Formats: sequence, C-alpha cells, structure tokens
Amino acid sequence: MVTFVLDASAILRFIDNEIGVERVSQTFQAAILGNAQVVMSAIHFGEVIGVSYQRGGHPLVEKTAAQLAELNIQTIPVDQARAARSAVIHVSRKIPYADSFAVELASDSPDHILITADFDFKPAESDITIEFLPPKPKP
Amino acid sequence: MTAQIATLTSPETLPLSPEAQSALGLRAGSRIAVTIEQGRVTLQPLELEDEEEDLDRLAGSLSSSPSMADELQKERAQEAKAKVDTIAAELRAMFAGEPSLEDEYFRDRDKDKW
Repeated sequence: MVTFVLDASAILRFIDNEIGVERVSQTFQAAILGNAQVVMSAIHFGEVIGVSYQRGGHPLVEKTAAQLAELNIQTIPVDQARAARSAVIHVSRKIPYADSFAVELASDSPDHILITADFDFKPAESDITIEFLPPKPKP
Repeated sequence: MTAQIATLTSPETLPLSPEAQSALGLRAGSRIAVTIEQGRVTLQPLELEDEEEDLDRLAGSLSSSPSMADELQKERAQEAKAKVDTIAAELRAMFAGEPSLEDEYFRDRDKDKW
C-alpha cells in the first residue's frame, strides 16, 4: 500500500486551496477509502499547529488538530533513532533541519511518497520519491 | 407458464414405478422442471446440459456483479470526496484571511533557517 508523507507546506497548500490542492485532497480520499496511508512527522504537525496558533491562538490550534485527525492523517512521533537519522540527512544533504524529518520518514520504504510544495527538498530527490506540488504563480 | 425447478429429495416421492424412474434417470438430487398449463402438470427431468445452461444463466446474472461493485466503489469514492471537501471548507473558514498560510509559513521559516 502506498504511504503518502505530507509536510507542512502540503497541508497549508490544502488549507489555502491553491494550485495542487486536488493532489493533496486525493491522498486524503485514498486514506479514507483505505487505499493508502497518509502520514506526517510530528515535527511537521507541530509546524502546522504553530501557524494555527499564530492566526488564532489555542482555540484554533484545537480545531485544526481535530480536523487533521478527521482526514485520517497519522502523526508519526520522533524518537531518538529518527532524530539521529534526520540530523545526518540535514547535514549531508544540506536541507533544512525540519524538512529532514520528512525525508527520513519517506525513507521507511520504497512505497513512501513525499508530497510537498517545498523545493528545499530537491537535494533529497535521489534518496526518496518526491512529488512536488506545482509552484505558486508569483504575485 | 414458466417452469419451476424442483429438486427430488427421494425417487419415492414421485408416484412412478422404479422402471419409469430409471428410464427417466431420476435419483435423489435430480432436478425436475414442473410446468402447470391448461390443467395439466408436466414434470420434465433436467438433463446435465440443462443444468449447465442454468448455471450459465446464473453466471450470466452474476456477471453484473463487477458493475455493482464498481457502483459501490464509486459511491464510496464520492462519499470520501464529500468528506474531504467538507473538512477543507471548515479549515478554510477557520483560516480565512491574507496572506496565505503557506506564504506566512515560508516567510517565518526563512527567518530562523538552520
């Protein structure tokens, strides 16, 4: 079964309802139907929660977490082993530290596909399967 | 009138001589087509070929099953899409405002990039 790894940018693209939203929506539909899994590192879940807090404080944080749970997104905790592997990816591939957790998660199996709107993941393209959402048009 | 198919539980249940039953090839489990027409009852033993035709007809009626499965799958897919669309609408209502969350996220992240 395919496992879609979403990062914060993919979730925010979905909420923003901007270009590529259909692809993110498809992954949630597949998860609801039991045809795929959708996972997110706890690090990226935290980033989405941070954005929520910035917009609306604690009430919005709780609502956001509840809605994400309804979408069948599994949040994968970070343990010492994952943190260590992510740190190595961060340094060796020169990608942002938070992003390295998504790369590490997507390394779990060849059936994992990372979906992101963040082109900082480019250096990890040879290590994992990455599906980039289309770039947003410049304002 | 359309024939009804009956299964013979025991040859003794029919008022026929053993010779007649043997000639007709009747035995326990044999299937008989029972037709009532103009006050007459006709009993016709079904040959193996007839039974195979019945099975073919049954298989034919079951061949519509995949399309029923497709229908069910389509219905479930529509329900899943509706659920995702509803959650999306709720999230968007919660976060209504400018700039986009993604822009805000990248802007803030670039400040403390490590």
